[in-house]
Amino acid sequence: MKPILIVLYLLLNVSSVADDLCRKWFEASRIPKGPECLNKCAVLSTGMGTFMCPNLCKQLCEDNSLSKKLLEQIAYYPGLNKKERQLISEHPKEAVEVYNQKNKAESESQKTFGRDSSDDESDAFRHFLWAALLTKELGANLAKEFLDAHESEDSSENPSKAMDLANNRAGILAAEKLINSGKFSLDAVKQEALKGIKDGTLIVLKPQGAGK
Amino acid sequence: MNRKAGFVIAFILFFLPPFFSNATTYLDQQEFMSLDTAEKKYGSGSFDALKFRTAKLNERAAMAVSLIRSKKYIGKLPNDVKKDLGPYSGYFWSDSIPTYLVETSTDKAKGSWQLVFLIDEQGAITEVKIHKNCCATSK
Repeated sequence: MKPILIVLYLLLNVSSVADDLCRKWFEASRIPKGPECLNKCAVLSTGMGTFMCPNLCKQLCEDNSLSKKLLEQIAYYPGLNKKERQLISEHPKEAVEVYNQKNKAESESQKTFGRDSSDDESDAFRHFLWAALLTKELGANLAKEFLDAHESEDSSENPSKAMDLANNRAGILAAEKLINSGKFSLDAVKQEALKGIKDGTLIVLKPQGAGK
Repeated sequence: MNRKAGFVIAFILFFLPPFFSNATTYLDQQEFMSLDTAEKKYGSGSFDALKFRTAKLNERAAMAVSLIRSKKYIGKLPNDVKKDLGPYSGYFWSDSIPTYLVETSTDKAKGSWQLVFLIDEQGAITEVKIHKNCCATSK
């Protein structure tokens, strides 16, 4: 019985332990990800515990970071489009923030409207909030890149896309204004979003009823 | 320490960590309704795409189970769903994933529910599920 257990344990654990060791070995080398990565990684010196790591260079050079593992937990991978995937590979650390703020915007929209829907007030509120929170975390330019990438697969004639882009833009502008005046907070952004819905400055294609 | 106790401790120390270290994905964190529960709750009226387009929420809910069991949309693209069933009315992850609300409620315990058409990396539909649109409790 005992030998079977040991073999099972080894099967379950050895590969992840080796992966962790090699990731630490690779990170300690500070080789930048890019076209030269594979060659530099392949000739890195190894020790008793890391002699097999050069075999994993391809995987390590692609991306094996903690950010990626985190991202898999907070992002619906098949739902990411080409542009989003490209941006994530260029800005893995920021991508985690992008999807943390997205979750926050969705959750606030649900709390306020009791639903997350399309083309209605909850949609406008969600986009405004996500754009504003991202602007605070990443600055307006990178925030806009991620927000535009999220909409990049839809046809430019799609009215829903036009609505999302307009509400994203309003969120970025509102965040910049609040940041500059030193009044940025989640509550302030939510108030701005609700005000925008009420006075019609945010675009709502199919009004269903205002939130709290 | 007897052999049995040693075995139990060894089992806990050696076997449980790998299971706990398996991180959950975004989908694992979502709440879905089983087909059995949906059938008890909404019934199992036959699915008709034409009727679905103009149906009220409760009528859509009644067609949800047979729509899922028919597997009619597996392998198709989101645009095929939109052509058949009309504009999306819910929301899941992004505006490009087909969703149709089947129950709405401001009561958090009841929640709002929607049909969601999950896709693969090529954008083809792999599964249709009933998802808690609002106020899902994180697992």
